[in-house]
Amino acid sequence: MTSPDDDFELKRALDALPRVIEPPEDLWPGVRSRLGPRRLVPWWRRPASLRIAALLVLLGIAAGALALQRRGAASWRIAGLEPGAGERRLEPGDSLHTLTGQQVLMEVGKIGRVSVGPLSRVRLLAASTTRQRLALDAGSIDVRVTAPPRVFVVETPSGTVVDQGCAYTLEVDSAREAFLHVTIGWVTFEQGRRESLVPAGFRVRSGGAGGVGTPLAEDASAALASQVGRFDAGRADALDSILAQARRKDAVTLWHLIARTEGAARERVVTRLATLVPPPPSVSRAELLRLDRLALRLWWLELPGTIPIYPDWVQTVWTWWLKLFG
Amino acid sequence: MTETVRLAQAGDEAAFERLYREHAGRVYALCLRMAGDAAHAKELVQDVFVRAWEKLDTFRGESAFASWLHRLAVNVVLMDRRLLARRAEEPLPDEEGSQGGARAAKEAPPELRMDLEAAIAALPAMMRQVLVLHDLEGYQHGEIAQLLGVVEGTSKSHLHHARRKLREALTR
Repeated sequence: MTSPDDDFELKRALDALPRVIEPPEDLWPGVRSRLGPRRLVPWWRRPASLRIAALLVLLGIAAGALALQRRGAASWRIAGLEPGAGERRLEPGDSLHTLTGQQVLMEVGKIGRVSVGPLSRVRLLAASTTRQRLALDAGSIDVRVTAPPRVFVVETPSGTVVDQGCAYTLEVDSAREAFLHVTIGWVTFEQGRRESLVPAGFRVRSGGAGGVGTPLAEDASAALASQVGRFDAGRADALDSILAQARRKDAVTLWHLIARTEGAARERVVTRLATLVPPPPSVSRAELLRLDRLALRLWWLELPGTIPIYPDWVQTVWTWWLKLFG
Repeated sequence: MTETVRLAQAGDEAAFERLYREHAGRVYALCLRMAGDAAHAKELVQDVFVRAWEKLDTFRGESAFASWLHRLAVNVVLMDRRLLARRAEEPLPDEEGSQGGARAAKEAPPELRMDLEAAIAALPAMMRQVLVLHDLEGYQHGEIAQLLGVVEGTSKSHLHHARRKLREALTR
């Protein structure tokens, strides 16, 4: 048997032993003579600093790819020129004229394409991830764009066509009047403070004394189209005929007339439209008559062929997303 | 991770020499006590640093370099012990009075002039290694059992006998 004192003494003696004893001679030459060349170390086993460097390189590549992508959005690639012409790009400030029978296809960054019809003249005003702006001076274009609202815009001599995510054809004639026909989604046609919301299946004319016209269903009768044209030209007496001829499918036309009439005329428009498409219960007649923005938008949603109007914050968020990641 | 280690990992021999100068004393003390033989300890020190040079890329800086090197040294010493035993085609010298203890006593180096150091060197190999690892290097019995390839009970038993022998040697 051992006493605790013996254990304690032994432990104390062991603890007192030096943990470092220098070798009696220099052993380094012997070590050095046996050192071979260091093997190449796989990158994933290298020190953290090298891994950080590798990460930075990857980030650089990603940034470069992003820059290239953004550069791609800064000009439009032109296709459909004569065979062998090679690739051509349309930069901001450039213009393009097409000849008789010539059709030119342009790629709008990564958001869509524009087909330029024969005898047309277009100018590229701006090209960036969040802003693509074209001017159509004459001729016609066919547009198909998938982008956040208001990213793709076309200027015409008689107003601005603002894409809200859609496909449409736009034509400017020799009198500098513009004709818009929307086939997918919806578009706004703006001139000054006057604006028309044109959903798919509707068309609108702009130019002349009335500015941006009132949208018409593509299958609207010629008689209705004629009366709407007269109304847009300032002939208020055309309203009676319009109200009488309007069908449920023409509700969008009447909805626009609410803001384009006043007083008793506005009341008659609201009454007629309400018989074709009743407003939502949450919307009062008084709100509609005083052109309450929210009330009008809520009624818009009830009309046949319409789709929701994006709140402004949706566009803000979408645009920032494009700026950061687009 | 220090800059010296990074340089050595990149193949800088001068940096590795600095590491050698810094840690050789600690490694030699371990090898000397584990082997109980000064000449053999010197060989082991060289083996440890050559192995460290070869294995430097596996050091990722999660622990101190000294700890990494110490564990490497323990492995090198124990591997050497197994190789020696295999070459001699003899069982590992884990019993009292085996030749490991006898050799250690016979070739006790000048550094082991102190009674306690001499008594440690005179212990049978397995007892000496368990004692050094447990009482001097702070290893637990579970770790020692794993390193030596024995069960924990054997490690405890060797430690018990080693301490008893040391006490006897010191009271003589």
